Amino acid sequence: MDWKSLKKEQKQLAILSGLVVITFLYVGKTFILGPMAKKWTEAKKDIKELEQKVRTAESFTSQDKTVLASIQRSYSTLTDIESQFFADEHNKFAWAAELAYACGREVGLELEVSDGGVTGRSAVPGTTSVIASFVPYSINVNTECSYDQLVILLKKFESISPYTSIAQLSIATNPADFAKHGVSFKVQWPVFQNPAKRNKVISN
Amino acid sequence: MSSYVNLLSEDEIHYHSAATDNKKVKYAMYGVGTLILLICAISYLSYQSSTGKAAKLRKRWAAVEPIYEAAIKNKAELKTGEAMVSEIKGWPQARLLAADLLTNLQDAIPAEMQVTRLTLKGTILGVESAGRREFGSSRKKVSEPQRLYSLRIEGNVVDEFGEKIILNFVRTLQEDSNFLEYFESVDFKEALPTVIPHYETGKDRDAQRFSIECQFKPRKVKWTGKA
Repeated sequence: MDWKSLKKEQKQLAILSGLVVITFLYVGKTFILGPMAKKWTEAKKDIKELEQKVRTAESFTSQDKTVLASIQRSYSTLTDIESQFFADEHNKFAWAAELAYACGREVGLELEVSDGGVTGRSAVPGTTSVIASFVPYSINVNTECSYDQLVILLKKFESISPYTSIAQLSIATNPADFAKHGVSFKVQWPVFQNPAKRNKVISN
Repeated sequence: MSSYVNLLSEDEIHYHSAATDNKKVKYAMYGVGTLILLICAISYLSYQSSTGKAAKLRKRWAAVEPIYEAAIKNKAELKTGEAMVSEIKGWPQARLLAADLLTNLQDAIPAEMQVTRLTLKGTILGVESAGRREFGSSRKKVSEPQRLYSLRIEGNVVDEFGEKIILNFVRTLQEDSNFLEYFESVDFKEALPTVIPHYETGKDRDAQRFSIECQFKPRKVKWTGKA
């Protein structure tokens, strides 16, 4: 089919047809195919992302029961240790002083005991730079005794529990009596740094 | 007078017929149109399928997401819980048994030496000193709590070879197996001549006053699994 051989009407028809097709394609692309293609691309992208996310999430959540059981175990361990070895949260000094006096009585020593307070707890929660979850509650102990008596006394304190620590110790010779030294030391027990965290652990 | 002679065959006449040419153009247009429609139909079906699948997945994700977020929180809580257990189980390991230390010191102190003051200082890094430790001239942040202890021994030696006795004692603290587990460094700080009275007669005697400072190895407050 030769273009030159076509009649004028035929040429016009062909050109018109071409124009109609081009217009149709343009309109179709701009108003139908374009938005559709955009949505389609987005949908395909979403499918890829969502499939991955859903797969990861489902695999992750399938372990949740085990995770919850492990949390329970951890909290239960913490609760056990707290109830056996920590300073009584509500009555720390009375609790610790009773233990200290008992140790003193066993060694036959009179002890002066004072409250050393909790170190590392902030009055305003969240404003502390403490990185530890447990901080020490201390009592200060003063007495006069021989070196050997002191060793026995410290052993008594240390045998209260594996969580009882001697943190500070000062022994000074008494020039008036070389057999008796002026002794002061600090005994520590752990407590929760954050009381709110403690309550959460205990209530679980 | 003119005459018309048709020299073309029957077949050839078709190609030059306007009606036949129109038909061909129409067929071509139908063909193109059908092709476009076919492509559109296939594309539309694929599009519908993709958007439908995406919508289903979005719905599924909306259902899974809160459970997933709760699971992430639980996992973080477990990590915190396990770290807390590790830390608290590390307390007994990190404590210094002061009674044992005093017994070992008593055995190591020579008879000629009189200790006048013994000071043990303990601190928990990350609780009492904002989690920074001196490393030479710099201060480095520690990621977990550590117990740090130091010991200062002050006393007198009544002997003409007082300095030698002190140095031997320092060496004992540095090298004796009873102290190896304790000390990171043992520094002989000073030895000054002094006069002290005899504990029975009260008569003045020449002596050496000394002080020694011992830095303990840091003890991490973290469960290592060992008893």
